[in-house]
Amino acid sequence: MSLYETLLFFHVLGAFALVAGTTAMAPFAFGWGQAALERPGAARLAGIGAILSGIGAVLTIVLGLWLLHASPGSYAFFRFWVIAALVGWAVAGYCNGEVAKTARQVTKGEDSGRNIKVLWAIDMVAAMLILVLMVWKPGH
Amino acid sequence: MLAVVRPSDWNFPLFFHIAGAMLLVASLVVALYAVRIARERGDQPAAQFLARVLLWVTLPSYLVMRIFAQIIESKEKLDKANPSWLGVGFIVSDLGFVLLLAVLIMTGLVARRTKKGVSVAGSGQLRATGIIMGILITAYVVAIWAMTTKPN
Repeated sequence: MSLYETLLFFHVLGAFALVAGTTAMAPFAFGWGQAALERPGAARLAGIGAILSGIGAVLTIVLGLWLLHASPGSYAFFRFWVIAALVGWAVAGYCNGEVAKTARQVTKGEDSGRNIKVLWAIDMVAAMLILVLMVWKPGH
Repeated sequence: MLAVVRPSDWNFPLFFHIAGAMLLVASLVVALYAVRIARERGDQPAAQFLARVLLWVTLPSYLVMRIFAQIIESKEKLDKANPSWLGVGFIVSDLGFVLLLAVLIMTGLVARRTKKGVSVAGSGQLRATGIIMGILITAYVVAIWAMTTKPN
């Protein structure tokens, strides 16, 4: 397995972890399965999601930037799809962090009742937009 | 590099194939946590939540991933070349579907038992579903490796 293939595998695995983490936060954000999980249980699941998202976020950004240089054709940095993906990554990261912060507060018993539905939705939409950019690569 | 040589009409099915695969893995992570809760509490809401995650999220995501995989294969005309990385993908997805069906049936039966007021706390059936889900997630990581590195 070449360096490029290794980087690509862990970069894509990071993207899977990022989406898995964000999805794990959905029951907490929307109150799904409330009868089963209850709010503290959903917050603990969101906490697991935050760890997964964190690992995914680091893998995607570090290896993604490395891939730009390591790719056989060498991608240029200043391209629309790269810059837009970085913006999407930052937006998703901020929203993910806010949802995770609220979940931590609930786990500690300090539930402020903050509505995080919109933050979660922006997080997931940003993640999907990044996937669109990675597949179509507009402006390449 | 692949994007440079990939015809643009492959992008749409590729997007849905990857998005479906991502949601499939993500839903299994949530389902694994739901197994833990169901084994702890053993009541109807917990068992029902687990069954619903698998039925309403995991199964549809699997179908999206698998249907669009077939569409890409026919667009790329890979069925004749039959590369080994594609074989890994199909083995994982098709055998994975059998395991997924087993998990769906098992969790459905568990949810049904709790409906009759029977506690499933510490149930061996739930433990088995958790183990199968772990195997599925591991197999999907292998499939991701095959799809990204494309050996041979």
